[in-house]
Amino acid sequence: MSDAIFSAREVTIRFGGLVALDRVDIDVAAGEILAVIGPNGAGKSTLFNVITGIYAPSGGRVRFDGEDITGWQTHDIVMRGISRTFQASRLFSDLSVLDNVVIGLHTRTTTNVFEALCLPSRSRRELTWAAATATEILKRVGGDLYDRRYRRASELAQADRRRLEIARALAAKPKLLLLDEPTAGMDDRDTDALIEDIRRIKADRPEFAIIVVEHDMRLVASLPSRVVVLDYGRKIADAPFDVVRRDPRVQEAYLGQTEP
Amino acid sequence: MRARLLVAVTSLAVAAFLWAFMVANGVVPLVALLALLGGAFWAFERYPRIETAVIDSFRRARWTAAAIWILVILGFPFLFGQNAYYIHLLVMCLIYSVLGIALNFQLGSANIPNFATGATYGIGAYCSALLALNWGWSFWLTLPFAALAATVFGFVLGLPSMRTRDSYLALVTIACGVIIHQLLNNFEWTGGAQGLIGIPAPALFGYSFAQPLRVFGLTLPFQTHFYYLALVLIALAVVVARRLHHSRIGLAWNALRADEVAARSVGINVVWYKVLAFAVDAFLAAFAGVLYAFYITYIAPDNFTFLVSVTLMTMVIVGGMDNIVGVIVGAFLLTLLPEKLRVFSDYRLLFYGVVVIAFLMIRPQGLLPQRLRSYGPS
Repeated sequence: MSDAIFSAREVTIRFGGLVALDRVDIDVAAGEILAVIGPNGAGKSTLFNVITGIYAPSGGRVRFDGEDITGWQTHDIVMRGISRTFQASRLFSDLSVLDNVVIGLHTRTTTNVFEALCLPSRSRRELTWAAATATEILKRVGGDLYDRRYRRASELAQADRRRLEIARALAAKPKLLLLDEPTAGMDDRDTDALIEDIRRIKADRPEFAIIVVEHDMRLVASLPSRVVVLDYGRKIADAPFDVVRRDPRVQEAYLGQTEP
Repeated sequence: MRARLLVAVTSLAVAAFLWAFMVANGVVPLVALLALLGGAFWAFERYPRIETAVIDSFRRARWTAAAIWILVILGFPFLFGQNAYYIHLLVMCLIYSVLGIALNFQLGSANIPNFATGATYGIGAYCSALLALNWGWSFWLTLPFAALAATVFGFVLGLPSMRTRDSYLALVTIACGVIIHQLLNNFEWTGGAQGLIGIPAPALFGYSFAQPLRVFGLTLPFQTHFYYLALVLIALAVVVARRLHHSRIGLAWNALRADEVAARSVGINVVWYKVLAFAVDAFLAAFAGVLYAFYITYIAPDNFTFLVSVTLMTMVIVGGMDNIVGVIVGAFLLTLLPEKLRVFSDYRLLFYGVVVIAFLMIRPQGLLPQRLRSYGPS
């Protein structure tokens, strides 16, 4: 695919004897939503950890926005435009909701230690800008986040914690957003609200690409344009949802458990 | 008006408490004062409204508070008249406060266990002493050079943090602290175990700090000069700490403390910020070391042992992680208390251990916990 903003080629990762990912190819075009599904242990989270540089792949290349980012440091990859959320939400829980998003703006602020010490007005102006921008983001993401912006992140309800993670990831203005099981632990109403949130974000910025790892078939059915299925570290399908759900191999590996 | 009154009452109460605590003699008054302090914090914990009211009034009557505190701080030595011992205690409290603020960049802001602050303190002291003794440099000239040398050491000390973390990093810093102590003990040019003696007192435009201070027809002990010098130093430390805390650097350190993987995933260069915390810590600790060397005029390796680092950690934990006022309170309490409990001086380490355990169990956030940041006028 030539217009792919992101492409992984033959990405392989081994932990000792275990092959967690086996020559996986994935392409994402700008503006596309890609869902990655598969049974537990299929390698979905490992894939995210490779993309974001937490693990270096044992083989294969990862390209993003015209550059080979294989083996880059996580913070450099974020700077380049890939943000993520975590399966078990990892907020900065002893900081305020607003501070979580302000920290999300880290890559868009520049004050270094000498400027912070010698030019306090510049540093303060930057932080004021960051706080205002973060407040805007919280307003748009919805939920109770805006009203609770001066509360500790640890005080939030589960659904709001997820929203806050997404808000924090969006603050960096990524070109590609990775959502790791955003509906884990959510009830149906929260899941619907989350689907709405993602649609709204997409409507704001049509060029923005998303890869979502998901267990909830309702979200997969209602959102993405394309689905990749992983099983035992291998890619076994890569097609629109309607095609994938009829694929017997996929049903056997995964859907067969839920749709007999 | 109510805010101003509350500010005045609280401030004067705190100052009066400090004065009473310093001059208290004997077990009974000391226990009574500690009970009073405990009661105050119990009331804060039990009725958060009091705490909120006090903090709010300080925020609203900022200038009143500043005026009162400047008067209290400048006038404090006059309360003790000729008694040099009390002024000496105050100077040591201030030096430890600076060290506590230095360590707070790591332990408080970024949750990096650093047991080598005693060593960077020592490097600052030795560096300035050697420059002064061998080349006759003045206090003012050695200050930046000692700070620079310690900062470089801080960077080097921070490098292992690329590969180790948590308890392993703590072990690395302990090892570094021990190595520095051993080197100071065994090198010939550092004076070995005897250390360095005869460090000349600082002078300003020919005015020596070693003579008694005469103002308003009063004569105060020479230590008073160092009290005011230490005040300048602590003001500098507070400004540095505040500016860093209220910038994206302080936020990045806080992110690191909360969750390192998440911090990386929002684009924070974790290794750089850890190394930076080590460097800033070393920079301020060296300043404290220079002041100590020129104040005591005699330094030996045993002034900069692992025990000093442990004491500093206790101060930060007791006072309140990432709360500058808290750290200063912790430093004052834990500098004064062992002096008051001289009888038990053999059990000093045991005392610190018990205090840390008690605080981690009862009030893990410290006496004055970190406050959430607020932005703008709202």
